[in-house]
Amino acid sequence: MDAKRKKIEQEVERTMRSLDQLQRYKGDPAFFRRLQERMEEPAPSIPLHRIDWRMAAAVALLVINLSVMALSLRQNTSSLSESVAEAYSLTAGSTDYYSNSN
Amino acid sequence: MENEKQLVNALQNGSEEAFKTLVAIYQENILNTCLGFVPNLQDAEDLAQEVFLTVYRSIGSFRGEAALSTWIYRLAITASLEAIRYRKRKKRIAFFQSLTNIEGSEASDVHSNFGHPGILLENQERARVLYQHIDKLPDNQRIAFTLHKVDGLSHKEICEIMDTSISAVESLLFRANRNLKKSLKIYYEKQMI
Repeated sequence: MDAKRKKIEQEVERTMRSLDQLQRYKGDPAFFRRLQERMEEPAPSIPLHRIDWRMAAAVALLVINLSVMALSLRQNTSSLSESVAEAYSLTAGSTDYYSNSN
Repeated sequence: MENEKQLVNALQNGSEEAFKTLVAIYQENILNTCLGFVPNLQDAEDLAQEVFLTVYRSIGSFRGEAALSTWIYRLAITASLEAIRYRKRKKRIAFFQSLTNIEGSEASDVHSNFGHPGILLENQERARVLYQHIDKLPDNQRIAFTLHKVDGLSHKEICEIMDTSISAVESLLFRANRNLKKSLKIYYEKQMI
């Protein structure tokens, strides 16, 4: 058990030291030329072929589903209020207190 | 310092010669900083180019509150962290696509194209493992650790770039080292089962 723990500690230490002898990258003499080329490129636009149509279709389906759910919820709410009104015999005239008091 | 002021003035006046001088001065440092965060030569060079493009386009907004080098380092760090976040997002999307078995999608390792040209060949695999665990660190610990360990900056330079105190940098480095060791220990324990 101790041997295993010691081995793990050694592995951890060796991995932590793996960047110790890192050499600095000296760069590429063509870097500035490539940078200039990039600066002269026209501003990037979003190419249509890069749009992932599968993702777009999934998002469209989600939006349609949510719209249908919202619509059906609204219809259910209005039919519920109609049922309640029917059950308690509520009509427009029965709740028109203000017109009667005048 | 006076030279830096002159360089900034010339850049703000749109001098191409001044821009060439700026790139010559900072190219190596910025490339190495980007390589420290994104250990792949091609990606790091793209990022370094992006940093210099940002400098070119927004030098007008540079007010000299920090040294020019500090400002450019901050741009390089922001660009590198943004690139890492973008890769992580891509990895998450690829993972969910692989769950739904969408053709051509595979969950890939963020460091699958690992290749820092300055790391000794015999250390490449261990360094790749270390980078996987650096990825799990909070941003401020990651920045301090990378600038110190990979980029070789002093605590003073790091505290200027991170706009914090030396003791805060030391604390970040201590916590980064401790978290990395802890995370690597768990990794190797799983490897040895």
